[in-house]
Order: sequence, then structure tokens, then C-alpha cells
Amino acid sequence: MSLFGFLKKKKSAKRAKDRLSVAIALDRDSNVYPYLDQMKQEIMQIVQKYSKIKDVRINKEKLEDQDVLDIEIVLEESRG
Amino acid sequence: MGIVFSIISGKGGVGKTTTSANLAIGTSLEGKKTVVVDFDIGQRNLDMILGLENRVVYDITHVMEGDVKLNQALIPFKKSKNLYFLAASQTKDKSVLSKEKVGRLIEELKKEFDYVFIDAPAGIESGFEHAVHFADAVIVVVNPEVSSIRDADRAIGIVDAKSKKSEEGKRVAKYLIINRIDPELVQKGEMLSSDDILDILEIDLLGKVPEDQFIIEASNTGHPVILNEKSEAGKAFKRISKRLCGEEVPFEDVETPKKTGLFKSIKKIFS
Repeated sequence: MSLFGFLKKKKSAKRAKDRLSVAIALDRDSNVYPYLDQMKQEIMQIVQKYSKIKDVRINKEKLEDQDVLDIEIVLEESRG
Repeated sequence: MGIVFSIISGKGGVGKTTTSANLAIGTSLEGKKTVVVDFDIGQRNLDMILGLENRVVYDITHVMEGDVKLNQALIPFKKSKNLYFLAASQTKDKSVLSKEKVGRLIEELKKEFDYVFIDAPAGIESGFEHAVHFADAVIVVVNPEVSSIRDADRAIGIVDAKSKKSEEGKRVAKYLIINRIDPELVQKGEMLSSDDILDILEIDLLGKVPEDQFIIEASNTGHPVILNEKSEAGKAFKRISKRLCGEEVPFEDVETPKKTGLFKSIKKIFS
């Protein structure tokens, strides 16, 4: 960086592009699976037919270039 | 069978209705039998832009409810013999829309017209979803400004998730119109350029429309800007209309300020 670099303000269009790129990437990421809530409900309904269920947790993960949904089904403690 | 274009934006006030009106006129002047439908239920505006506000008797709700035949509600646009307009309902709320009714209406329109333009409401609520569900292609209108671009990206995401074509596993074509470009600001680096916007949104460019004072005059008088030969925005809409009709029209550089000649500068002093 030049000595007087701080005097040169970044042009606002460049800043707009940088900020938008980040904001939109985050927006897109949180909207990849719009069906997530509904899926969770349905999984619960199915599992409940067979076992008492405490919770279903779904985590979104990225493994290298693959998207992974990590579904964790927590069952009620069984008697005995 | 006609082609259905939905004009969307996400954010309001970016020129969606103006774009709908001008492209409908433009393609009809190119010879396509065209209808433009106002889907902004409760906030009817396209009638004003087209200068047809005094001609509306029946609207889209009357047709969908079966009160009148489609032909009774279609209003001819006299300045172009190939163009008809269907007004939004101003009195009822958007709960009158249902997917089945909208689908039936659009099927009927596709039978009669080459091009069906749907002026979608702003936002991404149910009215918007109805307006894009049956689209073959969506035309996204943005301004070179952060909130418009971000909202447009959300709207595009909903089209990808909820439209009929997407549900069937097909791809909905998406095209971008960048409206209200100020060439001087772009040159100064104080306004996003069209390349920047295309990088961010990652969809195909359909056209660039410069900021133009004639737009206000056009909406004041109800005489759309595409009919004004002096207007740069009007010329841009004409080029876009030709592209929509399959003609290859090169993209004009609307991002470099026009040089003002000596004669024009002198004229400006006396005007």
C-alpha cells in the first residue's frame, strides 16, 4: 500500500460490489433449502410411527464441493 | 401457443410497470399480437402508464371469477393495433387470486396472443408467486443500486423454487434489464456498472436503459416513452423489444456520457 493510500477513498461502486457479493452469497446460502422446516415435520411424523421421538436436528454442511444435510434424530430414552 | 413473460423486480419503484408497458408496445409494433396484464392487485398502475385509465370497465378479477368473457375485459391500445391490455382489480385484495384461476386465464391468453406480458407486483409474497408461476421466461428489472440488486436476487431465487417449469424440472429463462443508468456516475466509479451487476446476479443481459427525463413526462401524459423518438430510454426499450422478437441487436454503450456538441450547448442556453 502506498504511503498516502489511505487518503484515496475507494470508489463507492467498488464498495457496493464487494458488499453486495457478500450479502447475496449469504442470502443464497440461507435459502438453498426452503423446504427444510416442512421436511423436519414430515421426518418427525414418520419416525414417530415407530418410536418415541425427542427432536430432529438438521445441519447444513459443506464437505469440499458437496452439500451435506446432516440429520440427527434424537429418541426418547427407552424404558428398562 | 403464446409465450409468457413475467416482469419482476423484487424491490418496488425500479421501473417494472414502465418496462412492461414499453416492451408490450415495442413487441406489438414489431408485429407480435401482444397482451399486457397488470397483476398488481389493489395497486393498479399500468392503466395510467398506458393512458388507458378511463377505459377500464372490467378487470382481471371479473374474468377469473367468470363474471365476463375475456374479450369484454381486454382493452385495445389504439396507438398499436396489435396490443391489448387487461387491468388489475383495484378494489379487491390479492386473496382473489388462486393458482387454478390464474392458470386458466393464462392458458386462454396464450391461445389468443403471441406474447403475454405479466406485470408482477413488487415483493415476494403470494401475488408475486402467482404472477411468475406460469412464466416461460422472467424479465428482471433492476436499478444499479444495492437494495434493488439484492431484492432481485431473492426474487430470482423464488422463481427458481416455485415456478411451474421449475417444479417440472425445466429451466425458466431469466433475463436482466438494468434501468436508470446514469452514465456520468458510472464513469466516475460511483455507480455499479452493468458488468458488475451481471457478475453478481449471474443471469443473461437483455438490455440497458439510461436515466431519462422523458420517462416522467411519459407517465404524466400516459404516452409511453417508446413512442417518443427523441428519448434515449425509448430507444433502449425499442432495442430490447426487437431482441425479444428474435432480432440480434448489439448492446449500445449507454454507460459513456454523450458528448454535447457546441450547437447543442448553445441551444441549451436559450431553451
